[in-house]
Amino acid sequence: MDNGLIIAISAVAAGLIIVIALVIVWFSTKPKKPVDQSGALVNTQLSDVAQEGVERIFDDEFREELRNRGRLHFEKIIGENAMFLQQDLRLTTSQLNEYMKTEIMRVLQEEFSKYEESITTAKDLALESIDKTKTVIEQQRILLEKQMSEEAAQEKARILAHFEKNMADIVNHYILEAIGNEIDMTSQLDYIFGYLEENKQAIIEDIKNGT
Amino acid sequence: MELKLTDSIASKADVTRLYRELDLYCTQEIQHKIRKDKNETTAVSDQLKDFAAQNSIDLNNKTDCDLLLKALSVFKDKLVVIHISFPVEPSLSCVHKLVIWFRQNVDPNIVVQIGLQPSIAAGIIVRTPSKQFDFSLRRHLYEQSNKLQEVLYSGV
Repeated sequence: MDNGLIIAISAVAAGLIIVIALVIVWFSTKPKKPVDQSGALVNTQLSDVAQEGVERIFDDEFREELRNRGRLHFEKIIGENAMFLQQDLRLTTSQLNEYMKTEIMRVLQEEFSKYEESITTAKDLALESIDKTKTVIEQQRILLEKQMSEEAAQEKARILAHFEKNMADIVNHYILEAIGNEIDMTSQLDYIFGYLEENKQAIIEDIKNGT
Repeated sequence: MELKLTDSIASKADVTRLYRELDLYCTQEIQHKIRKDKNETTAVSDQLKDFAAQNSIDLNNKTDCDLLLKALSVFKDKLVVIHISFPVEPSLSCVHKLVIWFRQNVDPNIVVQIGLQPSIAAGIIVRTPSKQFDFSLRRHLYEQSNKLQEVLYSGV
């Protein structure tokens, strides 16, 4: 808007200069009267003539005409500049939008790239950590399984040895619990006499030695 | 005087009881004679009667009674005692059979002391003065533990 005003003022100033130049040209080409008067009088007459000429040229109608022309010219220039300005503004806005879009896209792309890179790095680290953890867990599991198997085998062997060691007592206890109340000594006498016969000599010797 | 024990006298307690009864019998017989009470008679157990008959002793003869009492006093200290452990309370006939076997095969003066040991399940344990003879099922199972394992594992 300021540019348009400057242009309008410049146009008015240019119009005034043209008018002054026309006036000077007119005075220089006007036929001179015979010099028969004094200098002071001549100057006074010239000033009066110039005054009259100016008043006759720059009358109200001429001034209004100039004013209208200046206004129209001013409006035309204003309109053209406004149009230029609008076009320029649209172009600038468009370029600015494009620039902003490009810049934002670029910055976003960079940021996304960095973000993706950092995510990839973090993912790699996490995967590596998980792999290490899995490896350690697997090692621990194998070790634990081995220990458990060994301990289970030892415990099984211990229980089995204990069972075998006390198997006679266990069976004896079972028989006692099962038929303890139904034991008949009479039915065992043949078996007992058989053993007594086998050990008769040892019993006799011990009794003889004891007495 | 050599005394022979009857089958009904199985333990040292029986011999001691017999001695006490014989002593009491002799004392009472003396008292009866002093009182000249011929109708009064002293009761005698079948065990004492059998023992007297086994050893050819007339209990009505005071001399025989004194002789038997004196012999029994010495005899009860010479008894051979063996200890037999049973898993359950044995019947009298079972004890008698064992006593007869021991008297026929080992020593005629043997008496037994009966004990209970339920953990042996079956069979007996005989303890002589310095030895123990284990004829129990428990010992048999211990001795046959390898076969027992084989049987058990073959069944698994």
